[in-house]
Amino acid sequence: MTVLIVDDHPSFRRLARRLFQEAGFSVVGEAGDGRAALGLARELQPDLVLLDVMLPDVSGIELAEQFPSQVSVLLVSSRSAEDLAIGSRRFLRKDELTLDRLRAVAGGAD
Amino acid sequence: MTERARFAWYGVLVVGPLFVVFGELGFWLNGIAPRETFPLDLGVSSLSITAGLVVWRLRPDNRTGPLLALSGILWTIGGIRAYRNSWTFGVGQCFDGSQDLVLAHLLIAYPTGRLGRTSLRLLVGAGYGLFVLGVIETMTMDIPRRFNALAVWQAPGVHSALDTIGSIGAGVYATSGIAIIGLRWLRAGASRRRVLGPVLAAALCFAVAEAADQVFVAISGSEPGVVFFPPLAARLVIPLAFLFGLARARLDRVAVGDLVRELDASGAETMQSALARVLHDPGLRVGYRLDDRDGFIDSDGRLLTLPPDGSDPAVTYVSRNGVQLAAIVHEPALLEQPNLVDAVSAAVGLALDNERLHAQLRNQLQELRASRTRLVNAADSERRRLERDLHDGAQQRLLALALALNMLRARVHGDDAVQLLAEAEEELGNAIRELRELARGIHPAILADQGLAAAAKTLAGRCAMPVEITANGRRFPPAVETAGYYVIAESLANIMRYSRASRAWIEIAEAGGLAVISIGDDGTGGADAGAGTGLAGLADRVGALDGRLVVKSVPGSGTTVRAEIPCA
Repeated sequence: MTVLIVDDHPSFRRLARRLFQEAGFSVVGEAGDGRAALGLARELQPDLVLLDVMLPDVSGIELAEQFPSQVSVLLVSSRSAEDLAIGSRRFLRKDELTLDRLRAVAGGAD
Repeated sequence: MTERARFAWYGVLVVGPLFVVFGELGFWLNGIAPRETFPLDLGVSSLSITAGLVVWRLRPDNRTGPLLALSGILWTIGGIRAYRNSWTFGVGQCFDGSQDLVLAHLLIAYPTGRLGRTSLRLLVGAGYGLFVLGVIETMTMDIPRRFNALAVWQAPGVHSALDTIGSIGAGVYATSGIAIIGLRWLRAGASRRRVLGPVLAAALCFAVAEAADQVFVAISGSEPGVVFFPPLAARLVIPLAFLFGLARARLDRVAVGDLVRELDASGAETMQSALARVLHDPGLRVGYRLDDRDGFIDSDGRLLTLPPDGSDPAVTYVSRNGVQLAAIVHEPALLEQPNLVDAVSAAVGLALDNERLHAQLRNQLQELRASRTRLVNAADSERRRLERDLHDGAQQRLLALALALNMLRARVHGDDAVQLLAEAEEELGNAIRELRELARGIHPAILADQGLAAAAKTLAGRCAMPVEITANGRRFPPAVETAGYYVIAESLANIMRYSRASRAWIEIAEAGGLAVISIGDDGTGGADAGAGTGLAGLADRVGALDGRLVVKSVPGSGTTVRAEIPCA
């Protein structure tokens, strides 16, 4: 299962890449802002995009609607779903992003 | 007035009437004019001279006085041609009609007596050229020298041609004078119209009478000047108009004298509107000098920019005891009545100083309010920056650490190490949660992202009881949304702490340029708005935005907190 990681913090991208790889994903790209993310998503057609809600140029919630329909999006943020007033479906706080959860997702996809 | 000037005036007062009677009697005794018009003739010259001298005496800097007096004198000189003497005839004939040239000059230069523009100087110069033409006309008359001492070149053809040119020129010149003052009247403001009006009306009256005389002559075939009465009567109106203007200016000064009493009596009328009324200048503005720095403010305390010196409108500064108090911005026409403005300064100095202090207080209040708003805005933006720094800095580092620990778990073996790692992860999770709550308390990110209604929804979601929200999702300015957020947060916290309510509600709406945020509950009521710092702090925050906070809390009937904040 291929994944594109979109977050404006490089340290988070680096660790998330290792976490996804350990969970059995293939990380096909990384982007630090919404514009780059949209370009890579269209070019690489990943199965999943790990998308930070608060990007420097655009809200991740708005950006998610612009991805190709076959791409699944997992929204993440250091803030809670309640703080962001978004539904908890397809959303995880960043500290809830664990190897076990990702393995479950990867297994489910298989 | 110096002794010499006083002596000159006495001379004028004694010799003047004698001279006038001498000149006018010439008309009457020698049958040039009908005897019935003698009083009018005498009235024209004596009134013109008297009015001119009075204006000159009261306003020595204004040239209209001497010009008016000169027109009367010239009228009289024209009369001496009737005496049976070749020299008085010649001289009188030269000056016959010259009074109208001076009157036209007077109209063109009215009300200051100064011509100013070069084009007007040229026009008046050309007007006096007609006088030279009149002299030549006298010299070319077909009359023996024993009757006309100046008839040095008897040329009837030249005389007739000059007569025609002179008549047409005089007509054009007089019409130009009336047109110029008429245009000036059309372009003038109320105060200047008050000055120009009487003289313009008199000039028009005279022009109509003269035109009617000409038409009558043309129709009846009689000699010009046979119908003396209407033009003479109209001529009399001109000095009367000047005297009327003078009397009105005097009355204006009396009105200024009454100003202070009227201001005290009415209480409601501002100094500005009172001065505008008394000085007949509806556009008049009063600026009050600030004590602590350069500049002027209006009666509401707003900064007022004064026009530069010499511009339109003009500025007159009012001082009291050597201290500049105020500036009156008015029509330049008022500068032509310096006595009036001086009277204003003297009469309303104290009242102006009073009002200046009030205006200054209002200005300081405005500045205080603006400063309070700036402080609240600065604090809000500092909170936003702090929240962002926490999010981008410490929070991200702790989250990265959490990911790293999570990955480490698969690599650690041994019960002790696994146990220790689990504890570390738990501690870290607590730290991340506390930091998230701290950041949320500093500034809720959702407020900037999605607005007050969405933020209210998250606040409501944390309440133990059901909270109904009514809002249309309209966005307000950031400062208004932030204040509204803290009002809702504090009110909901109070409801949960003290009200024992079963339900609560939040309403966010806009009405009449105000953001209206109401939070209510069905609890025990009886909240004291003055107790504690929570609601008082909210009232300060709302007040900093020119809003108000109203708390209604009747025991047994719940509590409603309502914030109204300007948002237009």
